[in-house]
Amino acid sequence: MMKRFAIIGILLLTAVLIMQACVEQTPTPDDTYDFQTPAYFPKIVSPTNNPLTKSGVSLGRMLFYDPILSQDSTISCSSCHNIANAFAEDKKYSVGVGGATGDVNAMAIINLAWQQKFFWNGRATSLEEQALGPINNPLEMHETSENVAAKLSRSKRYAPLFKQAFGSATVTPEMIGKAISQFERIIVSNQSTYDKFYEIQEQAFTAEEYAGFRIFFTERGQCFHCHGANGTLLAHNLDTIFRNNGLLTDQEMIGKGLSFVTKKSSDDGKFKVPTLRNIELTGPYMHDGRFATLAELMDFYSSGIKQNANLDINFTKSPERLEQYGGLGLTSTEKQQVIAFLKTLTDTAFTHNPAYQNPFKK
Amino acid sequence: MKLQLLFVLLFFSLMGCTWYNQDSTGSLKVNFVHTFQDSTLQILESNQLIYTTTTGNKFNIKNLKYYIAKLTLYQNNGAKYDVNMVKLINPMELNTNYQNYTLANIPNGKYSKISFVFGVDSARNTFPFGLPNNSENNSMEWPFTLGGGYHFMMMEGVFQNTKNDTVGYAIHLGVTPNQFYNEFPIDLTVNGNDQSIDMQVNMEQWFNGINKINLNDGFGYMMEDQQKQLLFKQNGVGVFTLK
Repeated sequence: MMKRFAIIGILLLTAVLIMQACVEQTPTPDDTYDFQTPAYFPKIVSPTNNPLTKSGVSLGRMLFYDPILSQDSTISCSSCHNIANAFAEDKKYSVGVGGATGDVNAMAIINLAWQQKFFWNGRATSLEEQALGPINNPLEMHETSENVAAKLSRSKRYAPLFKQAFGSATVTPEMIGKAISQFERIIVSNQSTYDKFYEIQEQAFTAEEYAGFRIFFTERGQCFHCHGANGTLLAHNLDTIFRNNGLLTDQEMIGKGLSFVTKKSSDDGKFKVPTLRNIELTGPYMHDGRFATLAELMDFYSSGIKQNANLDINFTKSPERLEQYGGLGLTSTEKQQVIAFLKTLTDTAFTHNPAYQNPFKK
Repeated sequence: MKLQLLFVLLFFSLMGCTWYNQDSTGSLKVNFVHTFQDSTLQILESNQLIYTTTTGNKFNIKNLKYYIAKLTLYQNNGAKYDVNMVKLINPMELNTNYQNYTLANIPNGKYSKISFVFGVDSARNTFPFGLPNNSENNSMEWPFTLGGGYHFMMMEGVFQNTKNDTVGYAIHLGVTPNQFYNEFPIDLTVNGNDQSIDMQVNMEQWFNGINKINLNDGFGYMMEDQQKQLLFKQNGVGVFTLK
């Protein structure tokens, strides 16, 4: 009888261990990546099947900078996500394999560990999924993730690194997505002037910056309603939201933005609210890169809003202002003050962080 | 055989702990049931105007979130029980956990009153991070420049203005003076069991309470206007009814 109990027990234990292995991947203690963020940042929720590891992050960093991901080995992730531009691009649209041109502006890669939906229209619901998107996009890397997996499996450089990070030298698209997303997850900006606000409040700013801060965080500017009060969304962009900020007319916005995913007309023209961290470095701005400078951006919010059926309530709730000014109606001094505040989000420690640099450059 | 007996004894001793707890405490789930004129509240994504205020505004509700704090049960002898929790109620969430406030481990006994605070209690309505630093609370923050803390309520939608244009409104309540206390008599016996009650949230009352709200009177920008917030605080007292 006891023998039967023991056999059943062993079988159950084995089944539980097998199921655990399928669901979770536990790094060995010495390979665990020590991901440190300031106390005022929320905890991140890493997927249990892709915990941060030193080997995974290191491999992801190599893949991020390696054009092997593209069809003709000319385009890497870093081609369009340049660290000097806070992992955005200084072009309106990115140029892909064979000179193909996309139709959206490359988004900055900053503090993605706190985000849940990716791309301007939110079509990727995990960073792992996002990481494979450009590989398979004919306007970008024009490859297939299966082909890249085969190339990497044959690579003397990469096969052992995948074996070390994920336990197999036979590379799969899933492993590529996991590695790249691990690197993207550790890219964090937290050393701007704005970050000092959490220690010393308004003393962090000059008079002009603080005046801009006040416009940003009061109903004069309304910016905080989308970009976050007290700066937590602004700093971390942890709650992915989609808004229609009046870039497009009713006709222009059909099928664009979140509605591309949801197929709801009420989501037409709603785009992901981007982080404003390092905004000084991430221009041109908006999903289509239509504004080259922060001054153009402020002019738009002040007097360039296009009215449409889905225009965000934060604009339509003041119809008088919208009718009179075509936007917030900021004075030129107020615009300058907001720009001065936005520049406090510049984090040069981020753009010079050795852990984010190209590992192939000596 | 002895080993099996040991397992059986161990099993029953462990279960005994659970049974003891079940016997001595129970739980109460308070479901916040949102209505408008006795019909289930509809929160819309479209601009369809399905409700009317007594002042004649045709409007809808597109966004609704608010905090309930310190739900407390009282016995006749003055003893009270609460879990000192602040809960975000979000009827737009499919997850029904955002539509109830549950008191667990309530000591057995008879309870005759239930109370709660609408909003965030003053101890936690602070900058930064009076509430846990997470996405849902951070999305409710009230700017430092306007006093800090959290929005007690965000209710947004569109209405038809005097020019017949469909425009937005944003009822945003915050700042500690705009909390309000609610209490209701209750006849509740806790006897080791799990129970639930419904708290009706009559959304019409926000607009048609003591103060008759006309959305044309500028309810887009009220975060810096205590008088406008006060109108809603006063109306809010009649919003909740224990069913």
